[in-house]
Amino acid sequence: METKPCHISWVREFSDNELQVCVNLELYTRDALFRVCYVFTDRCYLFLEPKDAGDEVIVHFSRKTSTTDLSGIAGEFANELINQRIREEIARETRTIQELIVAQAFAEADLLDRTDSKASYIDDPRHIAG
Amino acid sequence: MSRSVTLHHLIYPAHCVHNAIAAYESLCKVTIVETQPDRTMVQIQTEVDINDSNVVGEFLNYLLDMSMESHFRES
Repeated sequence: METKPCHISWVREFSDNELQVCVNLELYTRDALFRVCYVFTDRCYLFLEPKDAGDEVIVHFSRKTSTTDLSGIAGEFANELINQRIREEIARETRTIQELIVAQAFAEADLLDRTDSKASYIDDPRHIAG
Repeated sequence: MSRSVTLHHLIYPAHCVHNAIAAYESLCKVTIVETQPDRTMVQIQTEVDINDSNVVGEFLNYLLDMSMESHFRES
């Protein structure tokens, strides 16, 4: 199998039939890696191989059909890793409000303090205007 | 026609490997060649030329899917 030069410098190996990308698990969690891999299972066959210390995983891609562009897959995969990592971060930051919304949706009682919510803006009970 | 693959348990838990082997029983013969605490080596055999067959890739995708499900169920 002939190895081709790839215009993406961080691609570990690239040929007609196989692409290898190394993912650092200190930057991207295993959750994020799994979610990203799932996105590509409709177009590629994937095989994950941890490196010796276990802090890096080599993701092997092979195409499912001859029309799949593996060099394009490399870029998409890297962008999707960042996308999933940010989603994780946003989920962590907004966890409290998400839990409150779900709790409110399923609770019979009103969990929110609405004593001021029907007050006149002219009265400004929370002193929003300063 | 066969191919050997080493499956690391960090990615592919041992119980998922066993379940995937059972699920693919009718499509190919997957034999456990060696088991270590952190990895399982399997040999995948097909009746046709293994290079012409997608069964290895399909098996690995299926196993990856099971491993993901297991990972998210436990986390």
